[in-house]
Amino acid sequence: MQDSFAFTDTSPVYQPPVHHLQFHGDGTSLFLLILKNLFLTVITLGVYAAWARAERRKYMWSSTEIAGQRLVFTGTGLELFKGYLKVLAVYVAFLALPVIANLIIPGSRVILQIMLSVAVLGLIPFAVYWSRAYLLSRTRWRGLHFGLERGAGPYAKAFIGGYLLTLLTLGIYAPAWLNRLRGILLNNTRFGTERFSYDGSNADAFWIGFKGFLFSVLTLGIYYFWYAAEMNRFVLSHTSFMGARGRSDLTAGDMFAILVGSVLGTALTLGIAFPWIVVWSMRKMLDRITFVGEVDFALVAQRSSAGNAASDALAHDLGVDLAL
Amino acid sequence: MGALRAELMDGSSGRAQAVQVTALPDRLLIQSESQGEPEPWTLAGLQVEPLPGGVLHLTHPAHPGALLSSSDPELRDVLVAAGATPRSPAARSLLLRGAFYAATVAGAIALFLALLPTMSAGIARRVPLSIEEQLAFPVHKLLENRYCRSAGSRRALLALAGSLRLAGDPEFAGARFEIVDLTMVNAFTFPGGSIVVTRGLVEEAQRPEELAGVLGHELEHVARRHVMAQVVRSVILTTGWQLTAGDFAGLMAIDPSTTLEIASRRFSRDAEKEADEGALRRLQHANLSSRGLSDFFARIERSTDVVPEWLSTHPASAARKKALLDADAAVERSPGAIPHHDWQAIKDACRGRRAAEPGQENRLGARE
Repeated sequence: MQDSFAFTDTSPVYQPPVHHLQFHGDGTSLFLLILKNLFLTVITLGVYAAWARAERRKYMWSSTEIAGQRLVFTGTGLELFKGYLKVLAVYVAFLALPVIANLIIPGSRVILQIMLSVAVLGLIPFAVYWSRAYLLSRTRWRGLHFGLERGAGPYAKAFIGGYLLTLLTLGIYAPAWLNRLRGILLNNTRFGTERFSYDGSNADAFWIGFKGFLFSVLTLGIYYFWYAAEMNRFVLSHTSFMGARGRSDLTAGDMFAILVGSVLGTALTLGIAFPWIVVWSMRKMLDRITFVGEVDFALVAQRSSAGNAASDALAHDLGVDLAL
Repeated sequence: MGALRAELMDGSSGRAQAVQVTALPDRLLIQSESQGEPEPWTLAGLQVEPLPGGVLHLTHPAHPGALLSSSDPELRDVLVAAGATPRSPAARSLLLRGAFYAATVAGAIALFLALLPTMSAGIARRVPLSIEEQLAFPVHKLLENRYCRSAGSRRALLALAGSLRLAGDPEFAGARFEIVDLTMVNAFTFPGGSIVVTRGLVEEAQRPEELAGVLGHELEHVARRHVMAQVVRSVILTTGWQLTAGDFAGLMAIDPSTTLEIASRRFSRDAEKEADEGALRRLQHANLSSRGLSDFFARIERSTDVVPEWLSTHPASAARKKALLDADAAVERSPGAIPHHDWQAIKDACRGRRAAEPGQENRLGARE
């Protein structure tokens, strides 16, 4: 019999819930989907491209599991096709406008072409923001829609200002600039009625980026993988939703495997292995990302989200889409 | 069969409640802990979406916004038996389908590439000369300060080119014949009918007939609107790529830019062959021997035939030389393409420029 006792805390240690991410896609079915999309796009002389993109997104979204539930892409090929047509009409107007203006005011063509080119460059931040808004508005999880609040103006201001500052500082400002843009996007992102939050400071991002650049140069690029992993961990650890905070366990080795493996794998198989590589890298990435903390999903209500498919086409044409 | 496991999200909040699903012949009964009575979802109108990894998403128009998610394999069997969702296709069927897609895509691409030269040449011929001339402006602007010009050389070059012109050649208003101060051995046809030969080529040429052959070749490019055809081809290839396969870059056996590049090179070789044949006609018309050009090809053979022909923009020099020698037998030799002093003026065209700009030679040499 125990005749003495010590003060021992027998209450269970609180373990906050961990929300895991997983990717369930498989290379073979993605390969067949890509092949089918390519076939239909070729025989329809490109018209099917919009539907192909919607199909591919549906596959990628529905293969992604967050905390036990899959993402759903609700966008359609028809709306993307209409979006492409709208952007095409704008391009035709951009091309025709200087020619018509030149007929009315001879010699005005070059000036107008320059002005329009600058206008197109100015559209880039808006295209980034609006295309993100479109993608989020067409993403559903647990029956609720994601969304992006209005805010393209401040985003464009930060984008252009930061871009100029990055040019002036020969790229040194870039990590802080990108962090600021990321902050605007994440703080304006919501799931249902609840917003995400990003509190990573520009100063911290700057030092990670500066250190990454410096050591990458000194180590002839080898340090880049450590930098990429550190930046990934930094971003996730400063991202939260309700009571849950992001966590990334990606290491430099993981980054090396993903980046070098993807490039080598695609090159050595002459691109054929691309779908399997996409699946492999998605699995590897998502397996190492979690959100830790309580989230009462019952408190999150449905809220409709606006997004225009034309912005998706615009971002794609300007080369600033998410390549999804 | 017992109750099947699933999760129901009603679309009003983010809550996912665990439910039990009982399958009846015409409906599913969904029973949650919080509800007393099970909720019926009729099989008629039920939309079933199989997701990767064996998960099913079920929606129903009578329950807007609601989503039933299940990874219970028995539910799938029930729905397949009830005809609410098709059975997963067999691996053999998927394989056959994939092979059909791949073969059709390959056939369509082959047909497109086969028709492309005729198509682009046809379109190029219909592009007004004035539009092509507008494309030339930036090229001349870039090279303007490298052109070698002396009154004698310009006159001699024009005379030599003029003797090689044929009836029906396009009349570009702003066409120019220039020698550019570059050491590489090459000649270029620019949009708008302009022909530029490098100092390296002029120095390499030992006789006026050699330069005449090169000019005849370039003039044929001009006559056949090869430059415009190349622009049209690039536009068609790039646009076609973007429209059809732009999103599938990873699936290509080789990366897209390489594919386009190799396709362009084959067309380029065809165009070069046509230009060689045209050069022969022009030399014959000017009563000049084609031996000059064949000698020239023989000399540059070693430096240009380092890559296999299928990767080159030009046919192999040996093949070109043989074609020219064969043709030469039928040509009556003339005493010379241009007088000796004119030839000397062309050879010396860049000399004055280099003397006037000390140090230029080194700078250019370093850049090339």
